[in-house]
Amino acid sequence: MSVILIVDDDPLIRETLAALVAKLGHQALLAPDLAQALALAAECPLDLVLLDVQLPDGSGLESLPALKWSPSEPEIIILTGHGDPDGAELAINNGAWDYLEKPASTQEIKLTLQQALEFRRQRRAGRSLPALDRRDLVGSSPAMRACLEVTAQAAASLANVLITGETGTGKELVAWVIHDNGPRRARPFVVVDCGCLPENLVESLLFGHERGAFTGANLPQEGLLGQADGGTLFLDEVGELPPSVQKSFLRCLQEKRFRPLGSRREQHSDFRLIAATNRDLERMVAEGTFRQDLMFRLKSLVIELPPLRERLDDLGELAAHHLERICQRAGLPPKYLAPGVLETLGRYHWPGNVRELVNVLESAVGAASGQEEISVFHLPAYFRAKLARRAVGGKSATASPDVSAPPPPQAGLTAAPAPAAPISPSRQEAADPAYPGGLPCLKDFKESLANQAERQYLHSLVRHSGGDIHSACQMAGVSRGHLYALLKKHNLTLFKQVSLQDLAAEDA
Amino acid sequence: MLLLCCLPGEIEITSRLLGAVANLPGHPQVEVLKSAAALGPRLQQPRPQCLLCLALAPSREDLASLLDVAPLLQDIPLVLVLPDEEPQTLAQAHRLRARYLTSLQRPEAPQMIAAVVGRMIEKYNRAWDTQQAC
Repeated sequence: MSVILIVDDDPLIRETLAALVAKLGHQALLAPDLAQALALAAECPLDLVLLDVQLPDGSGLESLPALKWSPSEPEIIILTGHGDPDGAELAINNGAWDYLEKPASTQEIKLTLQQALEFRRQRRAGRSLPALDRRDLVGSSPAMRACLEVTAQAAASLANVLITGETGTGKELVAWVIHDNGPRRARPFVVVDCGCLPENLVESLLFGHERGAFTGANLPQEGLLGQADGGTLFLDEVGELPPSVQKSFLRCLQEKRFRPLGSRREQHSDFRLIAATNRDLERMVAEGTFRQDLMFRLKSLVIELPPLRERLDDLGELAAHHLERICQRAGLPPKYLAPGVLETLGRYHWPGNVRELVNVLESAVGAASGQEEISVFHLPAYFRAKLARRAVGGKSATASPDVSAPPPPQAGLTAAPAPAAPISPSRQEAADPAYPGGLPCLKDFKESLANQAERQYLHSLVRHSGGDIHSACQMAGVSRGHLYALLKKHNLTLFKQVSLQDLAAEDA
Repeated sequence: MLLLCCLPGEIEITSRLLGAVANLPGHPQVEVLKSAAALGPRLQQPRPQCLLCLALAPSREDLASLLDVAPLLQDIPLVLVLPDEEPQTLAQAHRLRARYLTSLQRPEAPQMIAAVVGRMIEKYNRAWDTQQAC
C-alpha cells in the first residue's frame, strides 16, 4: 500500500480522488492548500503527490521542488484545470512524473498513478544509485540533487548523454565525473571542442585522414574517434558541429564505424558519447542548422545544469569549497568569508555562473592576501560596481552596503585589487523626472516598450477573439504554443477555467 | 586575457609558435615559461579572469612533467603539442583533457595552433562581454 497526498482546494475533487486512491488499495492524505501539503510532506512518508496548480496560498508549480525534495522524495503528478505548455514543461523539468489536464478520466488518472508508483517501487527496490566521486561538482540544492541523480544514472550506463546549461555551469566537469565514475574510467577521455576548431579541421580531426587526402595532408593522422575507442568522446559545444560533418557523425554514432578521409577502409570505434552545449538545439533544428535525427541520438539522457542564480542555496557550499581549493593551491592558510559577504554574493545574478564565482573568489583571495577574512571590499571592482548599479537602479530588493567604495589599504598585498568603480551613471541621472529609477540602458528601455505594446495587443486580442483559441491564433498569426506562452508571460487568461466536476460526475 | 606558453627547450618550433601567437586577434598578454617545472608554481599563483595555456612537450619526459601538474591545469583551456603521435603518447596526453592536440611531426602545427587559439580567445572574449553586459 502506498501513501498518496491529494492537494486540491476543491473538496469535491479531493473526495473523488481519495475514493479512487482507496479503491486502488492505497492510503490517501488530503490537503486543501500548500501550507498543509508541505507540513504533511515534512511529517509523513509519502509515495506520491497529486498536486493542483492554482491553490489558495500559491502556485503548486512553484512549490513542486519543495514537495519533490521533502524527506520521502515522493513522485509528483500535476493535475490542473489551467493547462498550458510552459507550465507542463516547467513541471516536468522540476521533476514531476506527469502533467494531467482536468477534466482527466478516472482511467487516465488510474493508469498514471500506477505507472508512477511502479517506477518508484523499482527505483527504491534495489537500483540504488552508486555513490559518485563528485570532484568539484558541489551543491545540494534540489536542482543540483536532481542533476546528480541523472549524472549517477549516466555514469552507471553507457547511453549517450547531452549536457545542457549556460556558460560556466560546469558542463565539462559533469562529463568528466560521468566518465570517471563509469566502467570506462581507465580508458581515454577524448575532448573535441567543436567551438574552437576551425570548420575545415573538424572533419579530419574527428575521423582522421590518410596521407594525401587533401592539400597539406603530408602525414596520415588517427582521428579522435579512433583515439576514443573503448573510452569516452566528449563533444563540447556540439551545436557548433558544422552541418557538413553532422551527417557522417550521425552514421558513426549509429554504427560505431567511420571512414577516415581519403581511406577506402572503414574503422570501428567503440566510444561512449557525451555531448554538451549551451545552445537551444531544438531551436537550431527548427531553424535547419542542426539535424533532428542527430539531436534525438544525443538526447538518450539529458542533464540540464541550472544557472547559479537558480541555485543560490548552494552559494555558501560552493564558496567554501572553492575558497579552500584556491588557498590550498596557492599554499595559503585558509580564508573565510566575513559576515555579510555571502549575502552580498547572493544579491548578484551571476551571468557567468560558477566559473564567474570562482574568478571572483580567486580575485578576492589575491586582494585579501595576509588576511584571514574576505570582506566585501576584497571582491573585484567590476562586481561591486554592478551590484551598486543594481541597488541604485532599484532592481535590488535589499539595500546593499556601499560596495562601490574603494578597498581600504592593506599591508602585504601580492595582487592589488582593481581600481574602484566610478560612480554609477544611473546615480548621476536619477534626478531626471522621466526616469525616476535612473536612465535605463537602451536594451532594457526597448524591451520595456516592446512588453507594453505586446500586453496592449494581447488585451485587444482576447477581446476580439471572444476567448476562442483558433480565432486568436489566426488573428495574431502565431502558433497555439506561442500564444499560450505570451498569455502566460503577461499573466492573462484567454479561456474559461475548467474544473474536475466532470470527473466527479463520471465517478459517481 | 593571458596566454601562458610553456615552451621548454630551444627548438625550431618554439620561435615559430611564438611568432604565430604574437599576432593573434584580441592581442592577449603572452607569458613564456621555459619548463614544465616552472608551470606548476605559476599556476599556483592567483589567476586572471581569462587564462589559456599553450604547452609544448618536445619529449615524453616533458609530457610526464606536464602530467605532474595536471590537477593545476584542469580548469584551464589547454592546447598541447606532443613529441609524437604514438598511441601511448596520445593516451597519456588525453589525461590532460586538452582542447586541441597536435604534434611536432606536423609542420603545419604553428598555423593550426594560431587558428585554434584565435578562436578560443574570440570565444572567451565574447563570453566575458556578455557577462559584463548583463
